[in-house]
Parts: sequence; C-alpha cells; structure tokens
Amino acid sequence: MVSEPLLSIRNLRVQLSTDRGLVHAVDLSHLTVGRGETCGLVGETGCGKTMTGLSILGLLPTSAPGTVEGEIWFRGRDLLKRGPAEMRRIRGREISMIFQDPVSSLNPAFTVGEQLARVIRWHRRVGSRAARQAALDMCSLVRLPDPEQVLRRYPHQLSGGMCQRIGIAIALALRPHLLIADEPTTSLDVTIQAQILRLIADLQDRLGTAVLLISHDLGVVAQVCDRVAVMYAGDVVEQGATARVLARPLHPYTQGLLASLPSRGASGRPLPAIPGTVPSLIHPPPGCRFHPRCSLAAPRCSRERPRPRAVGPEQEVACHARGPHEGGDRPDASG
Amino acid sequence: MHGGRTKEGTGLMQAGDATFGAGGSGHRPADFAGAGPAGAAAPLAPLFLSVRGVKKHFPVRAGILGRATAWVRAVDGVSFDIGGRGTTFGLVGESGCGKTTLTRVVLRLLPPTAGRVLLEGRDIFGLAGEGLRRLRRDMQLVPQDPYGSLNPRLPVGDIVSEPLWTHAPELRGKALQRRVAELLEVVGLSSAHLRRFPHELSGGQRQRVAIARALALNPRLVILDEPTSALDVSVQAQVINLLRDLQSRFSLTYWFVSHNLPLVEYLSDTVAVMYLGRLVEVGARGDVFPSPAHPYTRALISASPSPDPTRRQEMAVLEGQVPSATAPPPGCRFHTRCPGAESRCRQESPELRELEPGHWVACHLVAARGGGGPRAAAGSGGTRADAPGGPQAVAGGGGANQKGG
Ligand SMILES: Nc1ncnc2c1ncn2[C@@H]1O[C@H](COP(=O)(O)OP(=O)(O)OP(=O)(O)O)[C@@H](O)[C@H]1O
Ligand SMILES: Nc1ncnc2c1ncn2[C@@H]1O[C@H](COP(=O)(O)OP(=O)(O)OP(=O)(O)O)[C@@H](O)[C@H]1O
Ligand code: SF4
Ligand SMILES: [Mg+2]
Ligand SMILES: [Mg+2]
Repeated sequence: MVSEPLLSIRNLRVQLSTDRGLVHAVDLSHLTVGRGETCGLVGETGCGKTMTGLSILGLLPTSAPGTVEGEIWFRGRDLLKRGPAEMRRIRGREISMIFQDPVSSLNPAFTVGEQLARVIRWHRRVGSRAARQAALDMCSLVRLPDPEQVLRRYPHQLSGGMCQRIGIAIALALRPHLLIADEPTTSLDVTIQAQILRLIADLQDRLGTAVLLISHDLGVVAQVCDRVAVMYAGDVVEQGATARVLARPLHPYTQGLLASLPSRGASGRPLPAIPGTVPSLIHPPPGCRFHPRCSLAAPRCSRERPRPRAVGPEQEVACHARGPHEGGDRPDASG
Repeated sequence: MHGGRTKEGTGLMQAGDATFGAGGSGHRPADFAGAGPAGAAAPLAPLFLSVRGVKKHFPVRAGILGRATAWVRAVDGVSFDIGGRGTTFGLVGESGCGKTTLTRVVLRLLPPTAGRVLLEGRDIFGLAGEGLRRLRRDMQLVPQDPYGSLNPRLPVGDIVSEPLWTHAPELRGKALQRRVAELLEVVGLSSAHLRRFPHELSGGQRQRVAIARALALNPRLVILDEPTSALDVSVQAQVINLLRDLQSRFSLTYWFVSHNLPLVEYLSDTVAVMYLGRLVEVGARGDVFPSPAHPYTRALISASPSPDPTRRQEMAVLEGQVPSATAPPPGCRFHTRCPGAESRCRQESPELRELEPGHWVACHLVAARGGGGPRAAAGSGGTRADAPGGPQAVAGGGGANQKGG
C-alpha cells in the first residue's frame, strides 16, 4: 500500500429487500487491491463475496432491489457515484468478471462462439472475421480442446468446466485493469486449473491487471494470492499478506476454516468443522457476528462490534481477543 | 456440534426407516457389507454396482438437415465395479473427460450407446415400469451445477418434498412437513429457508438444498457430482461429516465425482482416474495416492495446490495439445501431453492391467515396469466382446469394512 491502491472499498453496505425482509448482504469496513496484485477473498458460503464483486461492477441482482452505500474507489473515482452509461463503459473496458455460475452466465440461445465473438467485436472494434480468429485464439489459451468445434456448440452441449473456460475467455478478452474472478476454477481439474492460473498470471505480467480472486479453495489462494481477505457474514474479519494470514491465522474464524481442511491420513476421523450454522443476514448477530460460534467469545463480543486492527505490518484482524500485541488475552481483559 | 448433527441424522433416518426397509426387503441380498474382492468371486453375492464397457457418444450435427457429421465420444468403454455396499468410489479426471456423462448414463438420464450396468444384480438398462421406478428411488444424484439443477419457480420446501410426493405416498401432511424440516436441518439450513426461492440463496446454500433433496428417499447409491465445490471448507467439512455419518449407519454407497484430490483421498475407498472417455487408473485409495502409477494421475496429484503458503509449488503444467473427444488421438489417448510418451504409445492403445492386486493401470510403460503382463480379467468381463478387460475386483478394497472383517 505504498501508492494509492487500484481498488479501495470503504464502508460498503449492500442491502437487498426481499419479501422476507432486508438482507444485510454486505457490511464491509474496508478492502483494498493494489495494482497488479492478486488479492484472495475467502469466506463462509453466503457471506457476501459475490455481492461484493457485483457491487464493484454495479450489477446487483434484479430479483432483489437493493441499496448500496459507501465508497468504491477505482482509479481515482468513486464507482458508486457514476451513472449507468459510464458504468457500462467501465464494465466493458476496465473491470471484468468471471461469474461464479459458468453455465447460466452464458446465453443458452447462442453458440458459445457467437457470444465470445460478440464481446471481442464490441470491445476491440474489429470485424467479424478478426473477432472469430481472436475467439479461436482465446479458446486455445484457456486450453479448450478442438476450439473450432467447441465454438459451434451451445452451452448445454459443453461440460461444466468447458463453460467455465468460455466465461474465462470472455472476461480475459476484455483485457481489464481489474479482473474479478468468482470461483474461476471450481469446475476444472487441477491440471487445467494450473494452466488457467498461469494464464491469468501472464495477463497480469503483460498488462498489470489486478485480480480479486474469490475462492473456497485455500490451496489456490495460498499458491497464487499476494494478499488475502477473509469474510464472515458480510464483513472482512482478517486480511493481510497470504503468507501471514494462512500460515498464522489470528481470527478464530480463519483458524476454524484452516482446521477444516482434510489432511492426509485423516481418513477415518471426522473433519473438524466450525460449530453452529451460518447466521441469518436478515437478523445478523449483534456485536461480533461470529460470536455465537466462537470459542473465545466473551460478553463484550456480543455487545460491541470489533473494528479491524493492525496486528503487525502485514496483517489486520477484527476481533476483541486479538490486540496489537496479539497476546491472545481474553476479550474482556483489555476493556 | 458434531454430536448435535449426529442426533439430527438419527431423526432423519428414523423418519424414513420404514420406507428404507420396505424398499430393501425384496431385493437386497442379506448382507453386502463384506463383499469385496473375495465377495466378487463368490457366485451368490453379486457386486453392488458393476459397469461394463459403457459408451456414450453424442452426435455433432451440422447443416440444415442436422445430420450427424461427427461423434463426441464422451464415454468410450468404461468398466469398473463397486464391490461393497457402504463404500465410496471416487472418480476424478480432466474436465470434459466424461465423468458427468457417465453418471447420467448409469442413472438412466441418458440412453447408453453401448454397455451394461448391474446394480445389485439388476440390469439397469433393461428395467421398465415398477422396476425402473424402484431403481430411481435407489439411485439419487446430487448434481454438479447447484444453479441450473434446482427449479427456479419452486420454493425450497417444495424442491425437497418433490421426490417424497412422487415416491413416498405414505408420507403426507404433518409427517411430510416434519421430514422436510428434518432434511433441511441436517444439511445446515433451517425452516426459515422453506419458503425461499433458489435465487435468494447463495451458491452453497443451493447445494445444501440439492443434498437434502437427494437424501429424501434414503437411496442406496448416491452419486455426488462435485457436491462441495461450491461450499467453503468449513461447511464442506460439515456436509462431508454428515454424508459419512449417514453412510456408516445405513451402508449408503457413494459415487463421488470431484476435482478436489485431498477430499477424494479423504473420502474414497477406491479411486478411479478418467481421461478422455476412458479409465486410466483404478485402485484402492491407499495404493493410488501415495504411489500413482499413470502419468496423468501423477500430473493431477502434483498440480493439486497445497494450502501452505510457505510452500509455493511450481505447479506442473501439462504441455502439449489438449485432445478432442470427437477425434481422440490414436494409441494412448494421453500421449499428446504425456512427458514420457514413446513411439508405441502413439500406436497402441493400452488396456487396463493389474499392476498389483486391485490396482489397475492403462499405460504401456507402467505395465512394462510392473512386469505383470496383461492378466485377462476373470469372470463376466472377459466373456463380453465390447468390454475391455475390466477391473474385476477393485472397488470395496481398501475400505474400512475390508480390513475390519
Ligand atoms: N437474488 C437474491 N435475492 C435475495 N438474497 C440474495 C440474492 N442473492 C444473494 N442473496 C443473499 O445475499 C447473501 C450474500 O450472497 P453471496 O452470493 O454474495 O454469497 P457468497 O459469499 O458469494 O456465497 P457463496 O460462497 O456460496 O457463493 C446471502 O445470504 C444470500 O442469501
Ligand atoms: N448434450 C451433449 N451434446 C454434445 N456433447 C456433449 C453433450 N453433453 C456433454 N457433451 C460432451 O461430452 C464430453 C464430456 O462431458 P461431461 O460433462 O461428461 O464432462 P465432465 O467430465 O463431467 O467434465 P467437468 O469436469 O468439466 O464437469 C464433453 O466433451 C462435452 O462437450
Ligand atoms: S470478537 Fe469475540 S466473538 Fe468475535 S471472533 Fe473475536 S473472540 Fe470471537
Ligand atoms: Mg458467491
Ligand atoms: Mg461434470
């Protein structure tokens, strides 16, 4: 964080109104992504990672009208204050997203070749012939077999992983400054995954693209991310250098996540899971949102929301039990 | 927490116990749990699932007449067995290699191009009427895509109760409601979710709904196509613990498709590795993972990212042309990307051979090293022209119940 970061999100609140009530989908104190950096975003299922990504693009689900408050600074301007026309331009040229759901983010009525070529034609202002060739090249880059033929197929005629690679090809064809990759490799086997991750890294080397990588795969995050942010129930509870956060997690939620990974030789034993269930985002728990499931929780945790605090040069954590000295005292001991 | 879930699990299965027992009384051989390699040879204990020479080719159509100009050979001659009930069969492989297609053929959601599948002795492709109805109860799928697979117009409660409406007429009214609530509870959702629609749920929440739905009828064989790839690792741990819990109590058999190798290693008794429509390696977990024999399996295992950030791997990237399922390469289908390919690999297609007991590999070089030579598969596989020598006695091996009894 020497110079101004490429993306800086502050006090982002996303609320969706549904017929059951207001969903506090995101309530995020801050998150930054530097130029050319790869920042991982991990966290509980349903904690608001996708919503955070969609808010950056100004694309909230139409099914649930919502309000977005806060600031999303990107290349010197606050995206939340831009009009729809400018946001459309930004989506086409500066920020692109690999959507979490590879199959339904494609249009079932057109062949994948038509969809890819349309994006390229529009973005690069080239003729249909050049766009077709570029589409073929993109397919080879994302390691799709037999590109000529694959481009003629409809989404339902491709495997999950093939659709996902089409989505990646579309997002990369835009050559963005910021790529939001929402679970980009979950449907891919690990050898193709390694190739896609290398492809993204190449793009970063060539164009200085920054990547916000949303993933449940802590292995992928550990291997490719410079920084990582851990989200729980709408907020980032811990962030910092990957080597610190994943090797020496301080937030009890991060610790629980890492402990849940199956380890070699553990086959007979149950996996350690974090007790309890995902909190409702309609009535999020008061104070620290993790407190009903936390083994360190003290009375203060249910009253007062912990603010993020630096616990070293490259790590910050929002937890009452973790002070700057990070002695692991009981939360109430300090206050 | 785990204790709490276990109790829920009991309630769940008790509610359905009557149907579970009824479904099994006529058909189920008395005790399958011990059937493995030895059981496979015994004539009276049929294998739990036996897949022989299954093929599925899709036409590629072109022109206004829509004539098939080529065929996607998505599944191209696959044979394997799941020997024992209550075991887990893990299937891994390249994206697009045919895993989902293979499961859909076995589930009779797609007609096969060739082959034969027996579930507890029942010829799956030959069933109709009541037999087919029962089969559909006994085999359930948790599909790969938690978005497209749930009906967007139905609330969660209806999605979960739908199979009960169709297949469990004895459950109605309050009992049905109770059961649906139990099923949701057991996958970590609550009755607060009953009236929500799929689009109101996160990806992971949708996948839990799909799991609840699949468990509704107490199936024998549950096919899980990447069931946890949309879940964070803690919820994944809960779901996996739950699945194991149900499995050990009721001898559920799982066929688990995944790209997550540590998870496959953790869960599976037997592992099969698929590449471009064929199996290239099958064996007990304890044989395949520590010492993978096929070069593709080795590439997979070395490309599996470690969650330890202090150990950055140079993730092995497979160079070479990614082959097409329409025109698979001659010889070994992996030769275009295999680091060790020799001229023989480009000409001759390697068959699965038994490298050590229960560990089968389709690779010329590995077979040569092993020195075992092609051991003709004994039993039914050898008598069928379209069945490549299949692994006869693999699945179920290495399982806990094998060692225990
Ligand atoms: N269309 C919608 N209508 C109403 N609520 C929604 C909608 N989409 C998402 N939500 C809710 O918003 C919250 C955040 O969802 P989001 O998709 O951002 O989670 P996520 O962190 O991406 O989860 P996952 O890891 O499962 O993809 C969830 O609680 C979800 O139930
Ligand atoms: N309806 C269809 N028509 C034509 N081809 C199809 C159809 N369904 C699948 N295929 C092709 O069959 C092959 C196998 O697809 P399948 O979905 O079984 O792969 P998979 O192993 O499950 O892959 P993934 O890991 O990406 O899910 C692919 O080449 C795919 O394009
Ligand atoms: S603030 Fe309290 S409840 Fe929240 S994580 Fe820290 S110790 Fe646990
Ligand atoms: Mg998401
Ligand atoms: Mg699949």
